[in-house]
Amino acid sequence: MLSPVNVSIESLNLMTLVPMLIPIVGALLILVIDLFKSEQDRSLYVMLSLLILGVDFISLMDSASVFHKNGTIMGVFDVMLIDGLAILSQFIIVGASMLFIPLALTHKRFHEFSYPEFFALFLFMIAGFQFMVATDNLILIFVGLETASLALYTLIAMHNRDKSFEAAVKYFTMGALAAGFFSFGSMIFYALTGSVEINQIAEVLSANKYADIGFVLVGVVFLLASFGFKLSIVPFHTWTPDVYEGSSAALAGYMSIVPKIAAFIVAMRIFEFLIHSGVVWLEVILYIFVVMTMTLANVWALVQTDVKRMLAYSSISHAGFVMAAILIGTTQSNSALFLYWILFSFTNLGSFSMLWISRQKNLPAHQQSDHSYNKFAGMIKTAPVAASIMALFMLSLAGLPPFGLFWGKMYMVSSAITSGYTVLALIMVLNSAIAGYYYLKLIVYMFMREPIMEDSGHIYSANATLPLKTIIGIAAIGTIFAFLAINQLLEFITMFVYNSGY
Amino acid sequence: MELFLYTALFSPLVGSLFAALFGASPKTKIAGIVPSILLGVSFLSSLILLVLVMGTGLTLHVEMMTWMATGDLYIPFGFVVDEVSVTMMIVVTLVSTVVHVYAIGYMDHDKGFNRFFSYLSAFVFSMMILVMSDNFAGLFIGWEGVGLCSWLLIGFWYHKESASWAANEAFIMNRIADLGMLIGIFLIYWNTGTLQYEEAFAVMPSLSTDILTWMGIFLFIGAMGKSAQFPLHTWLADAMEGPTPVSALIHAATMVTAGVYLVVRANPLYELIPSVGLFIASLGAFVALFAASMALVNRDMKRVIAYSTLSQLGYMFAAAGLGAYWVALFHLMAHAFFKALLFLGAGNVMHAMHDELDPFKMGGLSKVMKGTFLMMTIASVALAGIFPLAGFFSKDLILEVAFVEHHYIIYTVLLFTAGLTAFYSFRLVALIFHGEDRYKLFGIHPHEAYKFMLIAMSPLLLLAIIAGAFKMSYFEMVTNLLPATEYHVHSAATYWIMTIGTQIFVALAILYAYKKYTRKDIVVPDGTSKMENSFAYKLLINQYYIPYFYQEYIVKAYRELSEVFWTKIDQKVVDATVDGIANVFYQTGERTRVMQSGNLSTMLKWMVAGTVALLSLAVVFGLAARYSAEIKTFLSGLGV
Amino acid sequence: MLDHILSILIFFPALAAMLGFVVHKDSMRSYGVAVATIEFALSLWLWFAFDSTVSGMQFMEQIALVPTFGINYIVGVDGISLFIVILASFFTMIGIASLGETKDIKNLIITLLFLQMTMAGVFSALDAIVFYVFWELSLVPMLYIIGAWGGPLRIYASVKFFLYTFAGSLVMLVGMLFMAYFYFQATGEWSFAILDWYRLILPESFQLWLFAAFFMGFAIKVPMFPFHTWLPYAHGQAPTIGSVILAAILLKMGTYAFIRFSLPLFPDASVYFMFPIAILAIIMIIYTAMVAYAQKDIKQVVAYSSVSHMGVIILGTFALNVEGITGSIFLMIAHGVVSGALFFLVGVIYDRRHTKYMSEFGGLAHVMPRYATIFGLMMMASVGLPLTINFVGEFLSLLGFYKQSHILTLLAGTAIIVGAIYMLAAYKKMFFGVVTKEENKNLPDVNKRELIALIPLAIITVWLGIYPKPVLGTINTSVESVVSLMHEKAQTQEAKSRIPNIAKEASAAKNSVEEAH
Repeated sequence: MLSPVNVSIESLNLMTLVPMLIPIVGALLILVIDLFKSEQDRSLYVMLSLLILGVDFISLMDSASVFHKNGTIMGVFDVMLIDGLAILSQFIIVGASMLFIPLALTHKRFHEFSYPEFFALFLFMIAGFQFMVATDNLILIFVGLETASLALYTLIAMHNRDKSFEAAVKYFTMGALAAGFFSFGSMIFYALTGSVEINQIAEVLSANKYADIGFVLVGVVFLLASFGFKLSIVPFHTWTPDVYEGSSAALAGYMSIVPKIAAFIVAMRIFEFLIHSGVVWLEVILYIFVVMTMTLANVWALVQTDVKRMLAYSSISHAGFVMAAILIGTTQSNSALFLYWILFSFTNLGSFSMLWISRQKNLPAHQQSDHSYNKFAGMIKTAPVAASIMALFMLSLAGLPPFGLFWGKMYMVSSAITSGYTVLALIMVLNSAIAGYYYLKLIVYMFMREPIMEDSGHIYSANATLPLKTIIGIAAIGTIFAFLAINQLLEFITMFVYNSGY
Repeated sequence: MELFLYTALFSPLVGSLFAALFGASPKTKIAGIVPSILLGVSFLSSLILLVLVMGTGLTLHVEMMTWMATGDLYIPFGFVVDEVSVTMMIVVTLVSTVVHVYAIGYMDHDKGFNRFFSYLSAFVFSMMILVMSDNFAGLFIGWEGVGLCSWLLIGFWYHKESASWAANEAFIMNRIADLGMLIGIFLIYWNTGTLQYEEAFAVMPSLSTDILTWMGIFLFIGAMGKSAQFPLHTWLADAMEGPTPVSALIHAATMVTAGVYLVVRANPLYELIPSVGLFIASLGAFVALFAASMALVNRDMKRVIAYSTLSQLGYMFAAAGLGAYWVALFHLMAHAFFKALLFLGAGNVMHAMHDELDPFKMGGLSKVMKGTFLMMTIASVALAGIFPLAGFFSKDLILEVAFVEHHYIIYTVLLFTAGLTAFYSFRLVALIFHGEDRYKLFGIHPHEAYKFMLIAMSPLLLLAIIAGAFKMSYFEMVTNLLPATEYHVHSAATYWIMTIGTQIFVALAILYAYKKYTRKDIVVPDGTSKMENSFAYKLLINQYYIPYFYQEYIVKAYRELSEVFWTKIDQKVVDATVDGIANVFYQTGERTRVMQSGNLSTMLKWMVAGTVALLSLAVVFGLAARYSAEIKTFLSGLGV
Repeated sequence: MLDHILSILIFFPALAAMLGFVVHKDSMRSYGVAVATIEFALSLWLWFAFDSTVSGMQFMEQIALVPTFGINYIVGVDGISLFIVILASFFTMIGIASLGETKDIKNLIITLLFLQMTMAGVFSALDAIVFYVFWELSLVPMLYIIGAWGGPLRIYASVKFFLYTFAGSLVMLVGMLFMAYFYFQATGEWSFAILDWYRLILPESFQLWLFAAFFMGFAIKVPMFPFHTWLPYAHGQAPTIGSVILAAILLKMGTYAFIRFSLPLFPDASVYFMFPIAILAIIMIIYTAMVAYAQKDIKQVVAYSSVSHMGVIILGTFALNVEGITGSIFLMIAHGVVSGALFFLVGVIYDRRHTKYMSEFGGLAHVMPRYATIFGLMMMASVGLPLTINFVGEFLSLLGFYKQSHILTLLAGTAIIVGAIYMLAAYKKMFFGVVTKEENKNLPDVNKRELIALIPLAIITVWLGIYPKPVLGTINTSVESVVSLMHEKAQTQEAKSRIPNIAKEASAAKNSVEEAH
């Protein structure tokens, strides 16, 4: 007969759940408000979510300080794992979301933002991502992943244009497949080790000296496939351009950052111990993936005619670039990953927001797509400030010093060098050189072509409102003055990463 | 004393700058007069210095300021006035003063008058630097300076294609030689650690012979350029495109003798390497003959004189090469006087004949141009080396040197050349001044030049006659610096036979020339006469086809090669590669973008394909790991 | 103030450019001139305050940037960089002052001021990353200048210029990171400070690789054959001011970097690669000179000629002795002045006739005597006539390299011949002969605005040609310390023998200088 489970509440230390609970509660709150009085203005929801995320952020700071004091905390039957990675990634997730949410306050009314559900789902999604990163339990990861993904599919679809529906469907279908892969992969690991906790899996595997490596690899393959999908690693990337194009520029920007960091964390947790325990095969495969993703995505980005698609490919290539960190798997590289991603989120959100404010309500006749290069021709003449800011983001993405991303790139390359991946380092820099071309292409259009649009200026800020401008301003400042913050960031990140044993 | 040195050196510069002030403005006499006066001043101070040097025998050495100093290289602007340089100074300043005054008349109607004098004085300044510097770098400054000025002056009438072409040819040919000079300088620096004459020469005896030989060769290459020695001689004849005073000053009296000066100046070096000296002498002898032969048939008055200059330079090098530096220098001086005179006379004739250069179209000018006739005749006599004029003393001396040094081939060549010299000089005189007045056919009314021009020429005339008289005193002076070897044929008999023999030989040549070219029936050759179709004539009139060869096989080749380099290599290879690399990426993108069909099922296919690929890899690897032992044995069984 | 003069030199123009956005476009030119003049005055003050007897860095400043990773903002100048800094501000000044009527001149001037910042930064940065930052930043303004004010092919040209250089310098960045890592291994702490790196002695094998990595960055910038093909496009398309600054300053970054990084950091590798690089340099000299001779477009002639001259500079640098390196640095300045002036002159005729084809001209000496005179002077300088600024540099560079190889120097010496060939030919085509084209009959001669730029350059050309001592002396002091450092660091016998031991040389030089006074 079963003996009653008795566990002390303290041992659960539910505190670990707080950061995830806050957005969930917030989401429910929004729904409740809607119950009582619907037809509210979107600004209300925006501000509410902003507040909630703010609170979430503060709670994260709190747990950060706790971690700082007494290291990694397990909680809730050791399901929750609050280590440095979890905290850093949650900072990024919540921070990026806070930057994103005000983008809803556009000048033109896009109706998805008038539904409270949008914001509720948004908050649920965040909670999902937070769960993903704050555990090493494959099941919980799966739950978080699915929560987040399903919410995300809906968010995309809500931007109702047939392209968006298409995008949502595609994303959903492939996501489903990926989910299948994931569960299958974790199943195999469970079968091998009788555990779904990554660290226990690791222990068991190393205990029996990777006796049946074949099965491990099969498991790894499925996990790789599913994360390859999330991280849009070539050849699992095919959804990315279409989905980005379908969804609103703002959301696309968001997707290029938050889901990926979550996926990166999980990938780190799963793959790095394998690499360190000398699974050569995985190292080789990852190497190939990194190079392929970086290079091919770049090569495709070269030939795009639409800025948004170009940015889609560029973010794929950036993802590949960062994958290198997982391959290298040293403290420096892992810190580089976070540094890179923080800087990247500023720049990339900035550039997508620039597209967002230049978004017309509906597509003019002479444009084949929302953000074709031609649209930006001669922008310097008509909207100099906007052009300069856009150029700034492009240069930063290209990794031109002293703008934000340069430091990330530099530190990443340096980490590759220090751990002996010289060839990889060279491939990385040469890729940045190739990437230079398509970022430059936009600059060329903006600064060196004659304007082809007769209507002057205002189309580039058709959507501009104070909040949007503020966000872009923040992004721009973050990009320009990054070099002042690098030192503190680096110390902070390194400390957290190091203390959580990566 | 330094005062005089600086006056001598810088007054030409002042004159040049003064004239330059009027560069843009229309012709003003003052722009010609002031520089001439300043040159006079320069001449006087040189004269004073000469007196000083001759009198006291001490030499003047000043250092104005540092030019370059780095590492242990140290080059000052230093100037020295010793027996050699003072001789050159006298020659340069004297001739140039005369030429300046003469040019005031000659360039009278030219609208580039002011510009001309600024260039001309600038040339004198560079020449003074060349002869006065106390180190090789300073010499090189002057060396290039005169090159520049000769470029400016040859191309003075730049609207004429031929003129600017000749100017560039001269400059570039000199540049080729200058490279040799530069290398020589480098050699000297890295082996002696200095470029100062004394210090460098002091070290040289301790150096190995082959290094010295290289030095000697490279320096002489430089000399060959400036003194237009074979094979770098073609520019001199073309340089006659310049105004005649320029030809007189630069391409007869001064600049072209710079090479000789260099060899004389570097005598301590060449003393150590007689083999190179012999080469120089032989080349000199060869050029003497070579040039004289071309002068025989040429139908351009100035070119004939130019060739004679060339051949006289050959004499000088022959002397210098044989170690008779003072003789070379002496002939240089004498030659400067009568050759300048000859050119200026030719200038008068040109003026009279409205720039007609073909002596066959003249004749009988002695009636209308008495002064010029007189002067040119005397100059020619001097050039031919008839006693008691300057040429006799200097040129016969060279012959004696060759004889005494037992270089009989050189001696014979030079002797024969003396005959040729006499012949072509008087061929010219006869054609121009005697015989029928052929110019009438061309409706030209010749007139004598301005009086003051003739007066200006008179000092040269005087010197052309009496310069020989200074031989001994000059010998006394200059041999303080140069090796003092007296050249005396031992048996008096031989000496007299030689001297008189030479004189007779030359005289005969002159008479033959007169007889041949004062005949009544001389007509302007039209390319039909038998002589003109003879091979020898063609060879000579085409200057042994050397210019043609250069044009066809060097200039053309260079141009075409450059064309190839640009259009083929630079654009088609180097640049194409760069763009090619860029294109590779772009094209890959273009081709592979089909992968992004946007069709959902293809997307899923890709995903599955990727997974399957990974799986198969995993399986293979897994099996390999599992059965590694068996595989090993298997492979070893195969003997791998 | 004097303690921070370098930072002021660097950031004052940037600040001014920011404020420039506010200035009304009609008064923009005067604003630009004023700012540039102040900048130039500051740089002159720098020279005035500079102690030319000290060989080390002066006016050093240090601000922590990313101390955990060893990146600090360190600036300072020595004899090697001093004059290039001055030259940069000088060219910015006369460049802006002599600007003709150009479209949206406001943006142009702002861009130029930013460019000035980057130039000042590159030449005074003493931290590899800071150096790299300015090095890369300098691409952006030039990209904009070529791309926005350039000729028909401007976009191709500018993008080519940017990407080519960008790719090269990224490889260089890898080299720098490696260098820092080696330093980390050796000392246990990260540092990108060049002066720290100087103290690091690497095994030869590492040196070779690192040298190669840095070489990629520098060689493309110089540009060395066969990486030079971006230059003709850039020059051909760029507006006058663009070509002037590109030729006068930006190209010098590469050669300067060779002396600042490659030589002192990798003495053995420098010796190892000396002959290959010398051969490249000779190809640059002869081959590009011949290509220049084949050009139809006067601007291309000048462009290729500057490649050819850069060859001499490289040669002098890799002479690895005081004479050669000093000469090459002096030649950098000389070439800056002369080629800058030549591009100005080409601009003059282009403004009048809107063509650069030499066949369009001929007999200009009749029409524009003053123009012909200045052009002639600059041409003669570029041909390397003694008593012009170029000669000093070329003479010393060749003299220096002669110590290393006779035959190669003989080949390289042909520079004075081939240089004369294309320059005289071009000059003849443009200025000599009779005026054939009707539209050339009454071209106006150079005007005041153009003389503002040309006269000072002409004066410098002659002045430094006759009296280079003040510049040469200062350079010499610093170069001697570099060479002695190299000699000490050199490990291989080869290197020891190739790089002179300066200790005695220095004393010898001192003696001879004393003799002079």
